[in-house]
Amino acid sequence: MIFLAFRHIFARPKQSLLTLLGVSLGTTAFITFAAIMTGFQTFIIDQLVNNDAYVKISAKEKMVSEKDLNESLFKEKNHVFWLTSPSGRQESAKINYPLGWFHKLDKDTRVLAYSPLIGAMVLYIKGGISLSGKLQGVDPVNQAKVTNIASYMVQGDYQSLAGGGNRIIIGIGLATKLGAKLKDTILISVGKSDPIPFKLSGIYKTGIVNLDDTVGYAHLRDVQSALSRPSEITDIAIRLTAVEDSQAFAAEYSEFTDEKVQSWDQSNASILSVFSLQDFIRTFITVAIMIVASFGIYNILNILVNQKRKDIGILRSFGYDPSEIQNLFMIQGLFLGISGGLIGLVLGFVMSLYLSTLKISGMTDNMRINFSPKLYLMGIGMAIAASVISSYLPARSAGKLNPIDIVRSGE
Amino acid sequence: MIKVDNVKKSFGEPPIEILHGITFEIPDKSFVSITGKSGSGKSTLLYSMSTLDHPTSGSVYFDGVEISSMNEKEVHEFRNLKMGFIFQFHYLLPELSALENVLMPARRTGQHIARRKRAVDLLTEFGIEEKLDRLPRQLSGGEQQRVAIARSLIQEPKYIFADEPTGNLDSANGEIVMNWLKKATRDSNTTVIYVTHDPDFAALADQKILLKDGRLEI
Repeated sequence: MIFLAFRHIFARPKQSLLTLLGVSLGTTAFITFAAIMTGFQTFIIDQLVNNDAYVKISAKEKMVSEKDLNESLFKEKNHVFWLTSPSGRQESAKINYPLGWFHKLDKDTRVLAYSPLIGAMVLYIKGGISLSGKLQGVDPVNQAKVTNIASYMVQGDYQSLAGGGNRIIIGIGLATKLGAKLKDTILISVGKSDPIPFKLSGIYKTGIVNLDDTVGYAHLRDVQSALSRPSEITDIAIRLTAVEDSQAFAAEYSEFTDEKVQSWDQSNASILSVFSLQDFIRTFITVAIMIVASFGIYNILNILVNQKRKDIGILRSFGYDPSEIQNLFMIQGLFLGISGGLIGLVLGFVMSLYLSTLKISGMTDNMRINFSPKLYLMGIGMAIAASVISSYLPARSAGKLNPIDIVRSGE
Repeated sequence: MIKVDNVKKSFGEPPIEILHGITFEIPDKSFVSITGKSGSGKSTLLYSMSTLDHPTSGSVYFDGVEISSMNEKEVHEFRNLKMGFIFQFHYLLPELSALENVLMPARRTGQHIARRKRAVDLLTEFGIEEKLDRLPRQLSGGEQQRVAIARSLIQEPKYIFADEPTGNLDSANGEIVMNWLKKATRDSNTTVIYVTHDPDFAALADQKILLKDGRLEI
């Protein structure tokens, strides 16, 4: 039946080409959409995982309440009435008894490394320019084990932080906006005292504008000193041996502490929920496109079956059985589906190559495009599935045609 | 030998009986005409005998084997290997050349390469040797019908069923077609059963089956 199926296809070049085009465009759209979205998601997840800890223990922000003040100030009084209730957060959140945490983490075999941190919102000042941002005080050696920050350096040396001495590394966006070069002095205002000078010893580039434009790193001791909070830390960043363990690890540690213990995916739940929405939209669009392409095949084959009733009758009179007649049309649908799918894969690949040369806002590098073979297998799988489903009904109806009805009708 | 035993055929709801218990036998190598007025049940009888249609009741035997006792697969094989069909309209597949059309029945069993010489010989015998690669639309009505006859003969069938094979041809081409069918009976072990309106062509038959209102008229 392959012989006759191909004759049918090539006897109607326009119809066949249009159907082929429908499937090709469907597959191209799927590959392109999926390549952009999953590429972007992978990039973001990669950045989230590698630029931050797998699990972070953070000091819980405590709010001032009437009860707290009553207990500490008016213990002997039975009834205290406030004209204006006390409100706001307690001055500075900190992790209580960090050494206890370090001891526990040292013994946990799932922990690859951990790094104490202190973070604060600051003003970066250089010349007449002042920009708000975040300053992270880190233990440089351990921080390099927990995140990939050291590998993102584009100027200077990450290790320069190790000696302390008010050295700082900042993101490339922040450096550009401040007009800062290596060895320049940047003043950092923490709000309580005069601005403190830090020497710029390195510039990093993660590719995420939000980080590159706002965050600086200095030695833990220097930041503690600048904030007048000696020995205090606000976070402990932890890297595990396996990223998949993050959530379970965080859940386990949360059970016995008041501090906030969050895995990377919990910390970024809002971003990940956007990804879920993106996945849903991508699936929806892809299914819609493939349904349209399927209708193309279905319509063409349906028309063909009606046009070929006479041929079906004569083939049946030669002894061709219903399954062979069904195959005649299934082969055509499958051929159009598979070849259209393959063309779609090539077009999708070409589109992806082109897109990978483009830049989009929010990322300093080119667009991340997913070239995973799995994506291409899914693309061709969908094209085949669409062609099988859409060919089956017309092919089955062709197989069911009764030869005598066709011959008698004298069509 | 073909044996038709009390074959009845009804259509519609409520059923209208078209054939009223037809019984006859056809020996091998016969040239048999089925004649009768329009609506007498000629084509219905032909198709009921030929496995394309099923009698409402009664039996048809080929060499003692009742058709209704065969399963679907056996019927299709029997049709492919033992039967040839010719219709009033040639029913050639429009995408295939004359030669490819002739070889279509043999293609089912993968015999199309082995049978190619026979196909060329048949088309040569029918005067179409120069037009083997032409599509049906590039052939005249008479040539198309000759291709259809060659196609019915390609598997060297034991039985050929022809429903008004000359109905769409002029008298000259009609005569040529009938002579070839007769020749098939004479030269090979083939039984030809044909429906015709034309008394001259009916007269060529060894055995004449005359139907009147769905009954056999002796």
